[in-house]
Amino acid sequence: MLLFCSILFCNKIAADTSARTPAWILQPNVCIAQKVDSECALSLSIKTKNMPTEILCLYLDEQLLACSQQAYFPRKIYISIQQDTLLTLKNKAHKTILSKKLLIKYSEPNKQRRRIRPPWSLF
Amino acid sequence: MYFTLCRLIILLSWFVTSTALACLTQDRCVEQSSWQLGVAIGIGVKTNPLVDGDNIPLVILPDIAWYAKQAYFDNGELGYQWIYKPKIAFETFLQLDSERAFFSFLHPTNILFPIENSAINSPAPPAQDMPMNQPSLSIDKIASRKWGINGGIRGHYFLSKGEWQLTFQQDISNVHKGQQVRLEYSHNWLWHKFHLALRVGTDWKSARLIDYYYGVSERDTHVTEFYFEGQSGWQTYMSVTVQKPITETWSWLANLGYRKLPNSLTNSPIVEQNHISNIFLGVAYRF
Repeated sequence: MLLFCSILFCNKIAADTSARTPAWILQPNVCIAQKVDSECALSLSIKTKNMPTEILCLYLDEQLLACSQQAYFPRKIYISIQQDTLLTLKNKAHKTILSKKLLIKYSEPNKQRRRIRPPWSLF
Repeated sequence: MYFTLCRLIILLSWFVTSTALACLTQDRCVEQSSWQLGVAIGIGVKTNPLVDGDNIPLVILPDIAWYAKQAYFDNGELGYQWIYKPKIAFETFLQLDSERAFFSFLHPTNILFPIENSAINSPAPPAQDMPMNQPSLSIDKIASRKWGINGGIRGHYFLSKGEWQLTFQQDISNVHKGQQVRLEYSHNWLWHKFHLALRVGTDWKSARLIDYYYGVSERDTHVTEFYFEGQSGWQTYMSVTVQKPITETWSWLANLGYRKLPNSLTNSPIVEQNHISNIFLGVAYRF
């Protein structure tokens, strides 16, 4: 009986903890650029849940994008990236609440060629 | 020594995994159909193993490359790449035989910035570097050697940070009609802001090639005790290049290299050192 109660109690705590864990859904998280080094514009939709009741700020590779109470951001956030970039949600104390890497892919094949001879070589 | 080299190569390749081709540093990659130009300025020297041979001052190192989809020019090598895949590549090429550079002060680096030889000459080699009881003959007193043009084929096998190369070259200019084969492993690291590149390899050079450049016969002197017939031999080499970016276009550059010469060459009376070494310290600019 004691064992049964313990299991039940632990399961409830686990379920409560999971329910309160901050989470977000970012769409899309992959940006398609034409070629290497070209800018890739992204219209980002952010859906959050279980956010702490404080002001939270959104950073794009340490660059501040926006701050909002409980992360109530606009329906769409427009950003532009040139390489894989980390999107981070932080509180006022600069503690990271959530983070997600935004990936960049290229529609044109990479036209960089690997050199056959090493540069500055003396042999 | 070759056992040691093999162990080193196996050790180096042991910790690399076979994944897709990657350009670890921008220097190792070039945008298709455009020139990649660079120049390094600094101080350095490449030793000359020949008797009375001028050490080659390294003050300005140019870097010139152009790659089309398959044809390319890379620091004096003109070639055509038949296969270029993430894991393997194969090309044929033409290049000058670099062996001739030691016989002349008209080496490209010397033309760019000649320095008085006395300022950079290394001291006389230690006794153990000299072949025992070997009389020497100055290269100033022998017949001139011609530049050879080599035609070659080369295969690559790419790893995530390393690369194996196997190269065969044949003199196609009928200067000496010799051949050479090279097996090389190169490895690239990115450590903090330092780009490190290590190359370890061995060259086999045929008797015809060695004998043409380092052999001594009646074409050079009438003193028969100097006569020497060069034999084929293996030359093991190793080089380390370290680069640290300063800005987007400037970087610190250091290069260190060592090549061991075989007895089949060092027994020649025109050779007085059993190795070739080079060092260069400077800054590199990428246009």
